[in-house]
Amino acid sequence: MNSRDWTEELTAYIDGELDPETAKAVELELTANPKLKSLEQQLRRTVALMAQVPVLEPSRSLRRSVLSKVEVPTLGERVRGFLTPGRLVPVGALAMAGLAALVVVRGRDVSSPVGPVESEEQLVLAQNMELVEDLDLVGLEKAGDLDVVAGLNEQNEGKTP
Amino acid sequence: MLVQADDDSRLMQQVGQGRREAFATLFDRHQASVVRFCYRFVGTRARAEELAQDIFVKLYRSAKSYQPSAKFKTYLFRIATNHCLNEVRRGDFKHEQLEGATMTPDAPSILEREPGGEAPDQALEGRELETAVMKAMGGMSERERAAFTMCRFEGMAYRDIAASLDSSESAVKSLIHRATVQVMQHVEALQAGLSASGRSVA
Repeated sequence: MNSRDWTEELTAYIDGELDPETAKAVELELTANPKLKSLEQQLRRTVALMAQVPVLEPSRSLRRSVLSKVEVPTLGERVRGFLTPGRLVPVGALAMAGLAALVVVRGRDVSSPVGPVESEEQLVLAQNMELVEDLDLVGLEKAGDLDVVAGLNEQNEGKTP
Repeated sequence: MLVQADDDSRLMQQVGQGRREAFATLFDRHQASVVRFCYRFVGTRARAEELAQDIFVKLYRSAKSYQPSAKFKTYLFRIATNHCLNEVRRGDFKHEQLEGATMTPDAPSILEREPGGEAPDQALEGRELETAVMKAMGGMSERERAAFTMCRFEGMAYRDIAASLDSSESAVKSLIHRATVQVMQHVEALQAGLSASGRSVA
């Protein structure tokens, strides 16, 4: 008869936590000791019953309150969070386009819309551009209409004293 | 199980790098376990959730120093155990009797779940079983309660429980055995009471 107290080993045996050698020794003892076998069966039933214990579900407010405690980012974290590649690429592209537009607009200075006149040809071109604008203004559509305008001007000059 | 544990460790490292969405994922995975663990210490949902809230905030703050040398769950339950033990020792919380209303009301009867088991008058309804378990846990030492809860309700191995309790496997084996015997005695007393009163619980 083995004098060792095997009851301490029973729960670990049921849980499969004993090394193979000790587990085998417990099994041998169980076959020889009806009281130990009875205790083993009681413990086994108790362990099985634990799966029947009702389950507590956490409330939804717990998630909100925990996450709110850790979701207050610092200014640096906010800036880092904003500067993601997904945001940087389109923002950068927009900035480049804006810069390019600014350069073009600056190139056409408002005070000198046609830029400095550097030659006779440019001067003629500029005058023609103004003429075209004037033609639009008075509603003329072709250069031949200019003769009509010139005639009208001469008549007006003739009338003036 | 191992994949899940590895994944949790990876998420925890991401939390350390400031990724809050990783923390939210870890919270969603483990909040129920932590609340239930705390509930076994304090016996009420409201107090269990207060403790769980503190535990998760501690977990978040510890993320930068986290070393994935142990399973994440072991690490989490180490924080949880220390927090619960400190709170209980400080006297802020005392183990209270089960609040029946906080549990799932429609827990199936043991009769329905254990074919070939006890006779009808010996069977326990889920809520009565819960009461017996809570009474037994009220008489346990804090470490027995922690070890029993991690073993029986979280399915943790003795080795991991030992790591969570900063104890040896041999000590954990004794804690779990003593706790299981206490629960067994309470459950049997309840069954005997029901049997003597001729009550049939469906």
